[in-house]
Amino acid sequence: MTEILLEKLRKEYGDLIAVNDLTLKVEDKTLVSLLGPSGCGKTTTLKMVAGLLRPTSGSIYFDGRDVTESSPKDRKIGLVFQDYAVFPHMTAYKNIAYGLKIKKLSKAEIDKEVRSMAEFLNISEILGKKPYRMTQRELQAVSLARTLITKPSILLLDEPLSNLDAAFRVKMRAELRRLQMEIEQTVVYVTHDQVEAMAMSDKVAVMNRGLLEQYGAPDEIYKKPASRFVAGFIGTPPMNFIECSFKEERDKAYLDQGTFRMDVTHLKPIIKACATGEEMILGVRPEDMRIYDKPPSREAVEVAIEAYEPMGSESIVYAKLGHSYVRILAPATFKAESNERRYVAFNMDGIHVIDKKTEKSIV
Amino acid sequence: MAGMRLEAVSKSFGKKQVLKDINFEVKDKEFFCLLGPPGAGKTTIFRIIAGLEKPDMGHVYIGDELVDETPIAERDISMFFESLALYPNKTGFENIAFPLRIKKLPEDEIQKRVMEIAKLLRIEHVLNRLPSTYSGGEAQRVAFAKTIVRPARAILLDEPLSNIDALLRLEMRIELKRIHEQLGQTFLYATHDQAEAMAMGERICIIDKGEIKQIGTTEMYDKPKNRFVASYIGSPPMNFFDCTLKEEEGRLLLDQGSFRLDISRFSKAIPDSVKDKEVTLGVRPENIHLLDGPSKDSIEAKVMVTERLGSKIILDMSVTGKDMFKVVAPPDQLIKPGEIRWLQFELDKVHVIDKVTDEVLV
Repeated sequence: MTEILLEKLRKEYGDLIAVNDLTLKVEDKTLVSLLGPSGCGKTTTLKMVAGLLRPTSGSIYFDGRDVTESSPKDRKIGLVFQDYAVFPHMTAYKNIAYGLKIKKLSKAEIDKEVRSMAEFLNISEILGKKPYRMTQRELQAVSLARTLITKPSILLLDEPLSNLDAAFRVKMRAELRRLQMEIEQTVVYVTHDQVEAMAMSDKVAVMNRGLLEQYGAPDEIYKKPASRFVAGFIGTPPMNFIECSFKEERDKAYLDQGTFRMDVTHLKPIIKACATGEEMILGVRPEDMRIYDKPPSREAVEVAIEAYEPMGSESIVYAKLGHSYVRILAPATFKAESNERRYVAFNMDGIHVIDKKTEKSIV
Repeated sequence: MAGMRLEAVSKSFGKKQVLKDINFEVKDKEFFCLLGPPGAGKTTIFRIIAGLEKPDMGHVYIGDELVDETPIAERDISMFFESLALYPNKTGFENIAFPLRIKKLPEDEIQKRVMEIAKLLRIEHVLNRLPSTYSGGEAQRVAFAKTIVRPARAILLDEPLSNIDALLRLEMRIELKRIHEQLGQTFLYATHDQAEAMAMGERICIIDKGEIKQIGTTEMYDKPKNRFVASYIGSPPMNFFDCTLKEEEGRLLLDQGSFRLDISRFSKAIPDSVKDKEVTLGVRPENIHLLDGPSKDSIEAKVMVTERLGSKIILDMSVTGKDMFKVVAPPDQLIKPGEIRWLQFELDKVHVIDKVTDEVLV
């Protein structure tokens, strides 16, 4: 049970700024993900929180106590990194039991805990194995198990599920979340997988090139992405970006793409107040567009179907809209020949307008 | 261009049998996917088709020709590996031209062919540059160009997208489909990723532990033949519940212990031999609907975990506190862990699976 506060945390490597004055509060008993592509600074941040890396400047507080200069041991945290820390000479069982043995639990208690943890991570059958005989997945599970079993109040995880197969990952992320809520841990979770971050977190910190792009609850960053980067990084299939110009005509306002234009008169005041120029990016998620055989309204836009992917529960349609390409979600029963004409209507509540120059969201 | 056929192919490495009686036919110009977990035998099948490995039993045909004794070079197959490397000291052009230079094609034909392929893959702009200057997507495309530049009877692609980031993978899925169409080539594509297979394959062949589990179109999402296929296709995966099949007052019931489901409508499809026996109920997360209050046939369950993905919410729910299963709900639902909800299974979409044979009965 600890609140973590990072204040203007900075890490430089020569000319490279790996983490650029990051200020972030992880509230007590919550799970926060640091999300971003490789090189965004998420693992560097985690290593500074763990005490494995000394910040160039800035401070780290646990419950208001400045721990910036404390050793990793004194920070009392659980840590699981992508490269597995296991004792090579010990069996899986002994590796997992180690933390409890140090706490001087009885043999019977240790045995009970180890077996239930092994069952939880689906590694009961390998408890007698030594690390050199284990697969990547087994090593990862053992290193996770030996940290989880000690129930640390702060848990730092760096891509702990990265080597597990897809179906098991989907299961594990929910299980880890349940465990975190049950023992009320404060967790910082590093991942490049936006689905994982969205699924597990109370709040997500989206990072890019050492900078914090946005910090918010999953629903918030999905519905109101602050920048083009966040808009494009969160959600799958990803948001469509259509380059447009903002045009005014008498009292009306439009986003003009060349082959079609969208009436955005209702957004005119905010666009005029925030935009730095005329060039805009219209952002629309695939689920906020709908495909029709015939134009459903005067605002509907013609598209040419390029391809579609029948995914079972739905289809992802790839289509040409003027000179842009877009992805549109359609029912599983969707069928079309390539180059066939269809019509698309936008859900106007789901559109985003991004300033092309600053790449910041306006709407 | 040609189809290919595997006939009763088996293969063991030492005591371990990695392929058991593999039979399938790939049609000429088809996009055919081999789908299965790592270790299922996909790469071994590729190696046997390419001639890098000899089967213990069975035959391989390319087109109508039996190629069991045909050496690798004469099989006329092109293969793309996950880790296919580019020569760092050669330009894009020279990398792509390399397989043609080995074949000692005349220079003007090499020029023509490389330019054609570069245009198809939209990489004309990298032809004069060295690989160290490429983005991930450009490197993938150049490597792929190298594979398809030489006319071959078929192209084998072994996990070509597994090491690239998620967004690029979505893009390459569309690209590969387009290239396949324009090239008019036979593609045999191996992957462990069910989404990739669903998105691209005209037909999919699902393999597990060296055995074929089902061959078909994406319709197998709704019509899986066995439990393995039911569990492997779809994400989040299908939920399974152990049940007893019971007949009561002319009704057919699935009894799970904590809930019961009336499946009388499927009476005819279920053989008498499994009645009164243990079966597995299979339901996809999107085929379980949330109700605000109890109704006839609804099941009361507790919300354990909520995963808010933006476009939908995935819920981990439980009837007893132990049996965890997943439900997909619309994104605007106000729902929190610890709350109680009532669930309705979409009866048209449930599956009943024989526990002994793993065969899907309904």
